[in-house]
Amino acid sequence: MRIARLAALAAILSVPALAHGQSANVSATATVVTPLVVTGNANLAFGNVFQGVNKTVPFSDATSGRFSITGFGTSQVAMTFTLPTNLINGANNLPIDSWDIRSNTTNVTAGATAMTVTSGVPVNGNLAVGNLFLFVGGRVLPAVAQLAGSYTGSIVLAAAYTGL
Amino acid sequence: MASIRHLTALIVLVGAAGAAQGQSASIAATATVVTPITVTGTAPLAFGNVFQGVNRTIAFSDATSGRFSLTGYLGSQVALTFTLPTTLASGANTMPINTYDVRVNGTNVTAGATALTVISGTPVNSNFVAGNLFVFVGGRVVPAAAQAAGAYTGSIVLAAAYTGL
Repeated sequence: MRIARLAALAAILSVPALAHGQSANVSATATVVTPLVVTGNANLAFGNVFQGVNKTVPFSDATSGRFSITGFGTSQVAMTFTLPTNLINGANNLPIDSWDIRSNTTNVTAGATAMTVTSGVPVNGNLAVGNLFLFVGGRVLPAVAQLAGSYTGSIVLAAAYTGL
Repeated sequence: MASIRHLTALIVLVGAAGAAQGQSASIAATATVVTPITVTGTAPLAFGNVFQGVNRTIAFSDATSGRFSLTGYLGSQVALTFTLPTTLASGANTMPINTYDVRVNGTNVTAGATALTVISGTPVNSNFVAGNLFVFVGGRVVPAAAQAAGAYTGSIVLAAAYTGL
């Protein structure tokens, strides 16, 4: 009788050890969202400028610079502008000393939001509806003896997802 | 014999934590600095001989009126600042010059020239309609009854600068 009880107890204790192995699976999934596309749509064109007379093109001007960014809706994007400090004509420089950069989710300047931009420093924006439009104004400072001619510079916008 | 299954789940996430791929684009910033202004004094305002107590006027259209010519960017506005003497000098002696008649024209003729309201030291705007501007300066001297004889001179200065318009 005692042996039978011990045997029964051993049987109960051994149940988990003797159970057949069980398994379950879960998936690891990821969706890589649509990549960012950055497009330069229009140059920042100051047109004719005069010696000794500063010229400003507002962000809302017809000749302001334009970029557009498309990407995944609602995602955050880090934008890094590389802004020239001079426009160049051969060995001659024409200073460009201030910028007015605004963003909007639609391609209109009305209601665009000012961005605090420092050349080379990322600033975040949001692709609320999958698009972002950037408007770039600025000011050039021709010297009194500024050499006549055509001056150019390059404005670069790099964009990357932040993951947010 | 019961067997124990060892299940190993190996999950490899490739690229999930990788650096975000950036995209970039560039636009140009452009400006054209137009031709500079040139200002040339082409003729003095010459009153010639004047007589004690007799005012002498040289009209802007007179052959001996003062002349300046300017060149600049077609269609642009220019600020003209005249510095006009109030007296001509001969050593320690002075002779008042108290009236000026300044006109401008797009061509180098006095006919059709436009009067400028000129105050010494105050800019007045004009326009390079055709890329040139010609300025004609008349004036009047007022010799005193006891004006000392001699040659009197003064300097009329014209400074010009673009306004940006």
